[in-house]
Amino acid sequence: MPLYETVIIARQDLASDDVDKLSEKFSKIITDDGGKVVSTEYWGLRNFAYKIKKYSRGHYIFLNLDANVSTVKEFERVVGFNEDVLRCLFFKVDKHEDKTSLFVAKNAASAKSESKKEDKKPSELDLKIASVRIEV
Amino acid sequence: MINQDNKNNNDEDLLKISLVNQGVFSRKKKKCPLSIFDISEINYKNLKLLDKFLSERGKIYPTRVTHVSLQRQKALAIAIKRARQLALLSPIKQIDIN
Repeated sequence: MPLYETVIIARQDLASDDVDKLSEKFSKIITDDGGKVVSTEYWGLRNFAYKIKKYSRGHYIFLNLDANVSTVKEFERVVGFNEDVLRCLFFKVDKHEDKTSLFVAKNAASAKSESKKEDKKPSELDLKIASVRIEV
Repeated sequence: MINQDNKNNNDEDLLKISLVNQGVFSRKKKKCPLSIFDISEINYKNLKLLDKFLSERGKIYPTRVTHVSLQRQKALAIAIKRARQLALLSPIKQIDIN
């Protein structure tokens, strides 16, 4: 089965419990259809770069999927009826990333508690990025 | 113009250009600034990196300006366009990332 990365953007006025319910609901749709949810991430409530359906912020849910094309199409159809979802995109990838991505938290409920603990060290990637200089 | 220091430098690092009725001159070859990155690292989640290749109007800088290799420029363009679809980057202006 091909591998996918999925990003789902939900409305800003959902509570964190609702967001977790939503992501559980989505992963259930996929497992029922014979697919696999490898991992889920919650990127938090982020500001949009531009307005989407008159909203300026949204919850970002990220899923790593291992599913057939028919499953993905069915998923897109069902999500289309859901009013809480503003946008839903699938990207086909060769392999899933092992590391957690730049926006970290496993689900919406734990996101609040984790944000307090933060003491960030610059990662290897950050140092690499800092070394890139573009002269225009 | 003839570069007098030419003999001291390695020839591999220099790009020699000869023009009609003029001498040969040389300048340094520019290296791809993304050569330290794996291609999978150039993705739509890596916003801090993508932001370096955007103008203040949100346009992608051409290879002519940045000297990014063809392979990486293609990956970069795809990554930036995906980030725009997700409203992580704006198509028309610079935004604060974080």
